Amino acid sequence: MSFKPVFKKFEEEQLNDCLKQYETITDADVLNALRNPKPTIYDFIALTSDQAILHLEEIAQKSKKITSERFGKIIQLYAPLYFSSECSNNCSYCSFSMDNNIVRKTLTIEELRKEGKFLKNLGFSHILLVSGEDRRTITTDYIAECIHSLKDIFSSISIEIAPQDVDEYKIFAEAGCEGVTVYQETYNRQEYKKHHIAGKKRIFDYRIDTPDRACQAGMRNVGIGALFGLAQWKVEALSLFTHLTYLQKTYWRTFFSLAFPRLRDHVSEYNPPPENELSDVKLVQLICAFRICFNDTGIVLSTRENPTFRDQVFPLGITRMSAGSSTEVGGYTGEISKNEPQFQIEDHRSVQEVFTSIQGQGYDPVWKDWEGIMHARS
Amino acid sequence: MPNDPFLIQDKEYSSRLILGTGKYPSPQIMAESIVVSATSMVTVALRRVDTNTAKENIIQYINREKVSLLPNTSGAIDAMEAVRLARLGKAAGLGNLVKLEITPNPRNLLPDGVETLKATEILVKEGFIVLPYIHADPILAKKLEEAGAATVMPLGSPIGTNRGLETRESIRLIIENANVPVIVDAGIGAPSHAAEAMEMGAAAVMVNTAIASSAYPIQMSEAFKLAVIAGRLAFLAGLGRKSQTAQASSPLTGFLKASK
Repeated sequence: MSFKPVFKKFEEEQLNDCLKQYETITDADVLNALRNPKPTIYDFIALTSDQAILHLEEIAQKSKKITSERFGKIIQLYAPLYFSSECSNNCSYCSFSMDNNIVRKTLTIEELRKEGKFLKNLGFSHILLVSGEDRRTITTDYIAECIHSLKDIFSSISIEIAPQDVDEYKIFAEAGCEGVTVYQETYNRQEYKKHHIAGKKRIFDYRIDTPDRACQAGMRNVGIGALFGLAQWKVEALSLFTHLTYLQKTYWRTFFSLAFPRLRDHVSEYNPPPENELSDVKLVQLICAFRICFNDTGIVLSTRENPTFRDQVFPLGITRMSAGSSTEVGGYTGEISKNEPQFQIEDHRSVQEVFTSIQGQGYDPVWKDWEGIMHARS
Repeated sequence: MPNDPFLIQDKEYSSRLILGTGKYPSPQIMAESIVVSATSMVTVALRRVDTNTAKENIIQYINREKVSLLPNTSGAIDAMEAVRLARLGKAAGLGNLVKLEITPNPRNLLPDGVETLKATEILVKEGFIVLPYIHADPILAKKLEEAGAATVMPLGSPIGTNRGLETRESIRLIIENANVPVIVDAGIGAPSHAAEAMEMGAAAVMVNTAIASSAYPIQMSEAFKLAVIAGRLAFLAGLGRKSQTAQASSPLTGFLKASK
């Protein structure tokens, strides 16, 4: 199975029609969307339209209610662990781009375990291993070794690395990894080419089929998303809707999560034009609209967003949050020479502060919600 | 009223309300809900338990002298995953009761009957007391009973939906044919649903979302406590014995007895 033909059909036959729909949405459409027990992509358009802002409170209430019924009053906590900043791509928006003159670092297994133990001591049981995309330094064997070496520390290990083939994902699953996060960055082909200037990442179609390959390899948790700011937000949102619909029907055993990261300052020069910008209101609309249309899908909110926004927004539909994050290789234990973070984070609170803040709102922050032994193939 | 013990295999439980431990706003509210509900058994997701550290261990909030732990295998997608989880729980000292949950679709969490039967066979042989969560399938319920399941736990409606006993007629058949306690699990969204299941003759009900996700979980757990008691009393008083089939004697055929 492959999303490629499904997406091609969507691009050619449905996308323009959907974009036009945004201009004709009425109050009645928004209200109908709120009352439809099985919302369609047209209801999603209504819920994310400007017209829907008049009903934002009702939309947020509904989204919050669904989330607490389906997931409970809990927020699952995780931390990203950057293990290499080597990269063979040039992307307009990323600090790790090959041509950026930054200090590069790839952790040794010993350094990685040190970072891991530090995070475990803070309380984390779920970890997301992140790296740049360079197959010469970040080899399959090295990645598998990284995963394997953290197995006794964490109950859940996921990866956010270069897209891989099914066989490689199988090796990583075998080593003890059960989740893959891969963002398409942008679902707009033309913009994709513009922003991905050099490297293997230029191949749009290979990246868009990455979630398929991860699922086929038996990964249990797969996260998808777009980097909002690279293209018109509506295109990203509608494409994500289509991608998620396809994935959930095709890989019905896999748990899917969504994320809506917004572009932040970084080393490169790219600043999103205003029409691409996802405002706070629109981000809230997206979170709620996805929750109303996909009751049982995870939604992740990272430290890219500021503390005030995170505190206000998480009860509306979020299921997972990172806390106390460093986007720098070796950034937790600080014993490695200072190097460039992949992007700037906005929420600089400590893990304990985030934890207390979640509790303060009547939610239970959960460290552990997975058992690695379950997925072990022995 | 007759003596009415609730037994699972040989052990007696003082309450016919089983609570979940997920979805609560805090472990403290969970703990208080458990006390107020007067439950004698709570289920705990094995994947939530950290057997290595004491940190965030939900088990520490449960008074194990009064309340039995029923570890569950939620998250497992096939028989072997569930078996591994069950063994992990037993090795960690959580006892040999296990609520078998095998739910390959992470969105609707509907149980896989085929894998559940397989896992039951394995776990019963290993000495576990197995309480399988199933769809309201009367044939599967009998097969599980034959495989040695200690109870069967048919769903009223999908987990977390609060929609009540949508599978009412099948649950009725399961209760009618069962030699093991039938515990209605999942979908019970209001105390009235719990009372209805008890009136039908369910041995117990299992409730989580309806309590944990309500605005006032502690009050709601008391409401469920009362509803389960009321439903059970009504069943014992005869309401539940209302037959679904025609009565044996009737004015239309009475003449046959007279002519005998």
